Amino acid sequence: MSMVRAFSVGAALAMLAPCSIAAAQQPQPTMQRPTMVANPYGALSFLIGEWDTTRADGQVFVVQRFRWGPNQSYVWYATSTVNGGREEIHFEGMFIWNFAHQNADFLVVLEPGSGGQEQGTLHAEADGTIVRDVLATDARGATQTFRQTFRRTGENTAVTSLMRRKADGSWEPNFPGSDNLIMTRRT
Amino acid sequence: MRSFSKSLAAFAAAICLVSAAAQAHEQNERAAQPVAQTAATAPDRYAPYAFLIGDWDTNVALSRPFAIVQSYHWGAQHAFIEASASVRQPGQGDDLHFSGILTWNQARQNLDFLFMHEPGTGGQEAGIVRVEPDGTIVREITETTGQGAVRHGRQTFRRMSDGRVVTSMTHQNPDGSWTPNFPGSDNLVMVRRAN
Repeated sequence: MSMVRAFSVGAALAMLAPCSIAAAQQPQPTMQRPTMVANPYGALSFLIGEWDTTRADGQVFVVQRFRWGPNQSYVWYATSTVNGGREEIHFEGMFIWNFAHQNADFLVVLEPGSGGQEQGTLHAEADGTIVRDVLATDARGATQTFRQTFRRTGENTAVTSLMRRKADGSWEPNFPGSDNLIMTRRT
Repeated sequence: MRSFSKSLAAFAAAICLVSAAAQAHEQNERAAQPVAQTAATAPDRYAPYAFLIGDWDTNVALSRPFAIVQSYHWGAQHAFIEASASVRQPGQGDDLHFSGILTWNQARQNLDFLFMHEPGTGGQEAGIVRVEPDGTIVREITETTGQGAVRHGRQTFRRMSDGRVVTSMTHQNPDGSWTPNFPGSDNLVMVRRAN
């Protein structure tokens, strides 16, 4: 990946940037060149792809999709539930690395049309487990804290857990068994 | 529109991060006012922002002129807005500047947004979008660069009677004052592209 963008494009982008640091330092059309960076997603990258989670009867009931945005600059992230063989979007949105916080920020629309949303962060633990810390806001403005984890168990397998925080600060599964769901990558 | 029972089923089955606790907390209210009905009767939260939907061109007449192309389109079920901006220089194609989503936050009564900023540079923009009493849309921006630097910016959109929009792009100086991002960026005209 080129470390520096072409001058002309960089100059124009620096001018457009709503609050670009380059523009802040030199408000005139500048010689600043946006610096390209190495992909920061590290352990999160293994999520890229499509993942199925099945019920005990073998039927897929959750599909999670992660795909790169341009230049691997963000990840488009969508989860669907499967009801009667038909997929319905549960949420979709994106996560983007934040170099100030050294984690990824995410924002997703929860059940499109319901008025809900989720936002928060993703980070990788020392053992590689990815943790998604969630603040969900529903259509009434009520908020609730959740946590999803992804633990890689093979090239194409992972375990995810879905937990919610109770009023006393402890955590419990969102539904029976949601603390240990197998994800299998579609090939 | 989803039925109440379907919504409950989705809530229960989903990977779902919608809380059963919250459902329980609100169950009585929901029994009296089902989700589907609520959605049908709720005001359109996006209405004040809807005039932005479309593709917009702005010509910037600096010594090295360029054009800004901004696009705002509905996401699935009008549940969010997909946004992007590109820069076009004479004789060249569009160069993506940012892309991301904006979605309603009922708790804060505004839109939250998250944009990738200049693909490959590690930059991002996050913040809120709100509406002033005169209808002006204000996008309050926290920008983080690939070097971890953080700055604050503001973009406004003011609808004119002829259908065009005036946008301003400013950033905050260390002393708290605001400065245009470049000469004239506090008064740029956006012209809707005919589709």
